[in-house]
Amino acid sequence: MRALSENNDVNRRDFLKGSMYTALMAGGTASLALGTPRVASAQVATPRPRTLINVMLLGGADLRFLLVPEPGTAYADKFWEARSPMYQDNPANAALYPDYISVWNDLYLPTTHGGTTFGIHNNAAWLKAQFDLGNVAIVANTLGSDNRRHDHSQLIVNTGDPLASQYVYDRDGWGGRLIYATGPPGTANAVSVTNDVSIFCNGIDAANRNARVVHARDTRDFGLSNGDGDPLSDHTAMARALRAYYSQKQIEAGAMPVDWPHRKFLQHELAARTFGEAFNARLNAISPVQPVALQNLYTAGSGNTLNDIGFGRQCANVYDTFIGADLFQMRLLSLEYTGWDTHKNERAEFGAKIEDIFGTGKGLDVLSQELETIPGVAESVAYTFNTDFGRQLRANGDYGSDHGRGNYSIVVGQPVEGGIYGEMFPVSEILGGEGSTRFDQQGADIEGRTSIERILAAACEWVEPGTGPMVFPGAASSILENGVDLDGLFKLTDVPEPSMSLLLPTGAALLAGLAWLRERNH
Amino acid sequence: MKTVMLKSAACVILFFTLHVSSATAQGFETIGEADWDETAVRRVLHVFAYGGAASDSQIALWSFMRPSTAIQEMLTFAPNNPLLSPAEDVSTGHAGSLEALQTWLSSGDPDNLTCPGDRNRFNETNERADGEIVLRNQGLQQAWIAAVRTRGLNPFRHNVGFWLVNYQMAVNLHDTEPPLLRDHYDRSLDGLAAGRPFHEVLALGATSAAVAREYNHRNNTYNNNTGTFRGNDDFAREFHQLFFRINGDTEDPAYHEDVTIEHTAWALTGLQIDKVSNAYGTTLNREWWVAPIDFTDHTDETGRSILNATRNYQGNLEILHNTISGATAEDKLFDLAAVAIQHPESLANLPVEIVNFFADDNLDVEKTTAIQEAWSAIAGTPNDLLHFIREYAVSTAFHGASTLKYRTAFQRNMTIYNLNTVDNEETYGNTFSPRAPMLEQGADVFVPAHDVFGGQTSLNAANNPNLFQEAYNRAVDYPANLARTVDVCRDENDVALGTWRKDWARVIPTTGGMYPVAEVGLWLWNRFVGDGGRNFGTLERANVAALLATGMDLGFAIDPAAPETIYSVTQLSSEPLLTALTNLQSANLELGSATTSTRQEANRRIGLAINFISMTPAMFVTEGTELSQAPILPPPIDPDAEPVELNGAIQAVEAGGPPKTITLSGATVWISPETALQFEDSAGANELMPGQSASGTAVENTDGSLTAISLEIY
Repeated sequence: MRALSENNDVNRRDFLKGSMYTALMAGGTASLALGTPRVASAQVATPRPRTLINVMLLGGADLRFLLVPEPGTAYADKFWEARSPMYQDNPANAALYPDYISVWNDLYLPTTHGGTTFGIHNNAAWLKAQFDLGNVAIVANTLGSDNRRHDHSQLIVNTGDPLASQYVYDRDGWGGRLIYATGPPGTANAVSVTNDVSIFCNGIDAANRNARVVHARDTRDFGLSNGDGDPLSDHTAMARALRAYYSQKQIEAGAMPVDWPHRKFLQHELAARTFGEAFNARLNAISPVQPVALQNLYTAGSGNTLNDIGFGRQCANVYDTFIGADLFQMRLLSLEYTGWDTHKNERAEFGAKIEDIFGTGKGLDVLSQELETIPGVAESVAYTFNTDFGRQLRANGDYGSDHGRGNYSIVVGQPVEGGIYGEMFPVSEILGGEGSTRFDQQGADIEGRTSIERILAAACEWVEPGTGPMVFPGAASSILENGVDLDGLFKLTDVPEPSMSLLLPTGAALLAGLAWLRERNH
Repeated sequence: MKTVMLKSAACVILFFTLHVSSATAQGFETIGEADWDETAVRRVLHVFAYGGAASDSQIALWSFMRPSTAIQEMLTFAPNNPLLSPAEDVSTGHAGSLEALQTWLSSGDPDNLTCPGDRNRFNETNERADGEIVLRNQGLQQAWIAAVRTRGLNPFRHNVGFWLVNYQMAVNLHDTEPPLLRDHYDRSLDGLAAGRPFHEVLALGATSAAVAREYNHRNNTYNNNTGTFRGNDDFAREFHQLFFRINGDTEDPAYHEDVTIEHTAWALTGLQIDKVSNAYGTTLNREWWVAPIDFTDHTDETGRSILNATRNYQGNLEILHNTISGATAEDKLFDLAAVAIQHPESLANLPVEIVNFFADDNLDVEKTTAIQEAWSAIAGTPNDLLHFIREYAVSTAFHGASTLKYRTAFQRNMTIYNLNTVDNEETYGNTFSPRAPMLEQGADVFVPAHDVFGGQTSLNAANNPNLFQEAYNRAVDYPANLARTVDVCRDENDVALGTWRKDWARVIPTTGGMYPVAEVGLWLWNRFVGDGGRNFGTLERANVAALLATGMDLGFAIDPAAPETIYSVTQLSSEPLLTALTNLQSANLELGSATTSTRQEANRRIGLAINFISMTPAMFVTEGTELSQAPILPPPIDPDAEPVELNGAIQAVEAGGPPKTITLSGATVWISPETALQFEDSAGANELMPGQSASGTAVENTDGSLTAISLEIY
């Protein structure tokens, strides 16, 4: 036995590259709802199944700061009167932006669609480019949560349930429901690249909400350690001890109640072990080094580090998950970006964050370019963006904005039918006499006219036909702005036949949905 | 005249205190004495005090006491709790505040026992490459970790302090400065230690410089001449929704937004923070903020004009359908807090949130009702939070089988780290800190993952496969974190001053002078998991025995030629492995060897066993248990009984001493065969301490016990 080396720094990735380790499972029959990895082939499967990427903007993003009216209208005049303090947030900027036209010229990119001209913040130039290509749908006057509390609103938006009870966090999310509606266990999973697994991903199985979630917080440090290769070292001894222990504990779990509190951790161990080796082998074969452009997004001093390094890493993780998408049976991805609660200094705070996501050469731009190198991805991916709530129409006294409710929703992707859905800048907000418009009212916000349930149900339908009503049973009766038709939110295309997933009988999807509905009604 | 005789217990009890609670904690049923065993005591210590640092004999002692008496010793808010964490050195004298502790630990004070080469980890400031002296977050984080681990302090106090500043009144080191956050922490705990009602502690937080920096309402102003408010309503909302859990569900939504929140924003004016030049020794102006806030009009040390009186709203405000008044923001917020704590939503939500945070992820309607009733009975009274936690900690609601609490990475790592510490010689000599593993697992002290909504929750942790992976890989790749047996103390010039060596022999009991593997294994399991061995099954015993007996895993210990072989429970329970396992378990750990290297190897094997235990599922969740006995209830009163007068004095009872006669009044009391006396006084909060006396009258109950009907304490 080798003496303990107190400062042994085991590089597990280096070890695995040369590892010929195989697991010996002594009769383990533990089930895994995630399924088993597909063939660990060096080839990446094509064509690809449709995959939805949901980005949750935590804090309540003021998308009225991203999308602004064209100067020279009565609406723009009221808009400027109410919101100018956000731009004139210090003496220098007050001099730089004496009027709205100066803001428009300096900070926004004019964009026209269907006779409507509006501005997109110039820190979101990639989004603007995508809009011009017809890949961006902007739905105006949307409503998710009708209260202005962060925690409850995030719960409502992540569960897609306007009636979600506050403080009840152990429940399903709309992403989890989508996965269960898409197919039975072993055919479709969600992948979370966030620090914590969002409620959004929670499944309908109350005993194991993560049953169909792969947590890929760091794709380059994925899976369980097997020690350092020296059979006599403490590291390898611990690895053998824990591996053997958990393999037998999985068998014990079979005799325990469904709600046994220890079960979660056995699930984590099994998932990490089962998927870790296959995924690492795939990465080693196809992308042993992560593309530099993606690494730069989260590497300090790279010259292109995002303001939020965590989001940069999430983008890089997303790329890696597509390399292993067939192994994970991935149909859904979960990302998050925090810090949108801009009560103060909104111009600087919002500008930095929107650039991270939508800027040219930033987050999603770099990710999209790298995903183009993986066949079949670009045309099979769509993004939805959600947030707690919108913000008030007027600036507060701290160069920011306070909580509101209504907002815009944005859907991005080649499969999206781009355009504007709804009244971009409602005339109703400027109706009334001097000092009596909504812009003048303390606490007034964007009036919600279209429920996000309708938008997200359409996204679910795109992912897998038939799932929309299952995931959002209330969507069809929820509010919809007059004249808005979301049936065409996604382009009509053939459903791709994924080559390495099971061909699901329609009945299976229906059964999954019915089971979910039964739980909802319970 | 009837004399009530107290019988001394035959067991070892040094003294007990007699407590008269302020009001009956209706709703909670106290755990039965048959269920109040060492496992129950350890459950309290694990959940509320990171396992504590009490000796095995103290734990046994508490288990012999009535639970409601023991808990008064176990959970206190004083800077020191000599029973929960016995003093070992002068560190007790620096426990008054986190500031005092951090200052001492980083100082060149001759009585600072930290290795000189390690003191800089607690430094408040750092010199940057450009020569600027800047504040340093890590110093405060390490100081808090030391506060939990150092013997002689009070880990329960610091668990509650951690909750207050990372969850209930969360502020983030990314948004405020370490000294301001530390002031917020210290003042909150001082308030609790002084017995202030919880709403006043929340008001202290609401008026703190740290919170004003976090939410930026330090810039809020009200122009009393023009009647104009200028600022944001961020904290105005969160004061109600986060601090007091008032969400506006019982108010008209427009009233809640336009009156309650808006007017609270007006009250939150005049909270500008002073600066002092080169505060803390820093050179950057932006770090010169100092606490506490001065609510007057004045000029601060840097020459800034601070108009906190002028810019605060003058006059009364209607908030929560109440008139709130006060000359300053501080006065108004304390006034408002007294109203908020009695709001129906706060009474319903706040106590549930407290219990959910500390102790139970599985609250049902029955438990929730009990929690709400217990809190409602005492909310707003002195020591309400302490009384509430104590009553809960000895309740059937906490100890019952349906209770389960997933551990956050904070809870799990700090408990392991605390219990892996043998004594203060290790505190100062073993340089490993759990800060890095906690960070890997999403737990950064004083940097809440969800910002003002608090740090990592228990559900976050339990549902986070990556957290499990990180913990697992840490155990495999860095076993020395817990298995370290030697470290060298060095001075600032890296010159060795001495060597610390791990010595589990100081705390692990012997059996006939030996350390049998089976018993050491069970002792370790009880220490770290605290479940009385309930989850210490065949697999766990076998693996721990192998590591203790051989320093290697079970597979290697059974067959070194085929270490990858995995053995089932059935195989381990039958021959030939049963004999092999018995042999492993009967081996002796050479903790008492005269040879240093042999002792060191024994200590290392214990560390490996702890590594293993730390990664079992039982270490990720705490659970209640099936309770065998009905809870203690007061006896029925005979309605026809004539009052009797009682004489005597209540004094501390010493072991082996004669029974004491007592005189008492004004309380419901029942006399048990044991030494402890239980009081429930509805008249007010009175702590009846040894040496105090009480007199009055009582009636006799049907079972011969007494119920006092008038009480005077002197």
